[in-house]
Amino acid sequence: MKEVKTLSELQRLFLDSILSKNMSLAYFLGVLYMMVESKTIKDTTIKGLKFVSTVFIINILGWLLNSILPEYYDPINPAIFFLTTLLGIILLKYWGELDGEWFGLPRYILIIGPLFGSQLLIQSGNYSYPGMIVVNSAYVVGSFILFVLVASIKEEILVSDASPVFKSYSTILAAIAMLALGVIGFQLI
Amino acid sequence: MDKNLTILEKVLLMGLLPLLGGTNNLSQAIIMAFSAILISIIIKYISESFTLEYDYKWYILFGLGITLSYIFYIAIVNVFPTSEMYVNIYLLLLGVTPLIYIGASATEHHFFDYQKDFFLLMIMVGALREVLGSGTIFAFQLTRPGYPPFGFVKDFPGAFLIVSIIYLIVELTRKNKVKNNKQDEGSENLV
Repeated sequence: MKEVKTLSELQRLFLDSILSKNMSLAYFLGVLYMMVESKTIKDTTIKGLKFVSTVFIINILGWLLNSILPEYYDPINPAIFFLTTLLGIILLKYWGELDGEWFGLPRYILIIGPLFGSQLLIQSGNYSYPGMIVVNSAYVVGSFILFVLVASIKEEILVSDASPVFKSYSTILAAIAMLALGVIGFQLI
Repeated sequence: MDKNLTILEKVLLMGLLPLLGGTNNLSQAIIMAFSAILISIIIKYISESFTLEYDYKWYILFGLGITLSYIFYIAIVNVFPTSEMYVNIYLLLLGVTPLIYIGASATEHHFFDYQKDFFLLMIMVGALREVLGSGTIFAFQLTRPGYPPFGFVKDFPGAFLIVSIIYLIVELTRKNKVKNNKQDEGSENLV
């Protein structure tokens, strides 16, 4: 397990995980969920809080189960993460989210990627408990900010006088690309 | 935004994760595309034999999808050790990509059109990112070594940018088509 010792190491880890190594921006987990599920900024803020709380809880649960089990059980990690992902889906459905269908598939398919993928990322980082909490917190803070930003871009696009061609997901993706370029620039500084 | 989308637009949305993450270069894009299509076909035929209740059916299918992508991940690394450098976490994440479950959807038909469009998009994004981001194609150097045309394209901002440009081109083509169809209809009415 990677031991993170000093406060400056944790700060560095937090900054990296919130910006240039964020699960949503750098690893694309949850971008589809954000693009499809974002509505008005007010609705998205509530939805985003439910989303990031679930990700936070599930990541801790996945890490705990992964740490408790002996190392020779590592090959079954995807199965463990899948079970915790199902718990996350049940939790979100309990909160009244992700009901209905999306192109003939259950709507909760949109959340499986971020829930399952973020656990895999944390596992591949091989963090100690403080490191995992810092990375997990940074992931959810960064994702929440991105979710609200995507909602505001989407709202702006829909009310703008732009040609209908630009009132599509391509504009949202281009806006995220510009944001990502800014993050890369910040990292260089 | 989700209304009246064409198959190509749906593929861009449903396959967004491998399109963004599994296209650092052309070889990786081809491995990802083939794996995704094979997993989709297996899921399609298995789902046809299911008679379970709605939620249970989908939970089992998602478990199956993740298992299959894990098997592919291990198999590719072990059977083709030289391809290990082209395999990343996104191969394991194919199991969470909505597109591979399209064969089990009750409302979406044209299964093979979805797979064909996905394969073409993966090739296109992979080739563009390799040429622009690294100045190579299949690792063959096209530009002066160390001077790629747009180095940032091989990183995550480039992935978003390339996919957004392709999405925009798809949208523009579609709008033109609608316009053309309307003009055709108009001219037929005039006649």
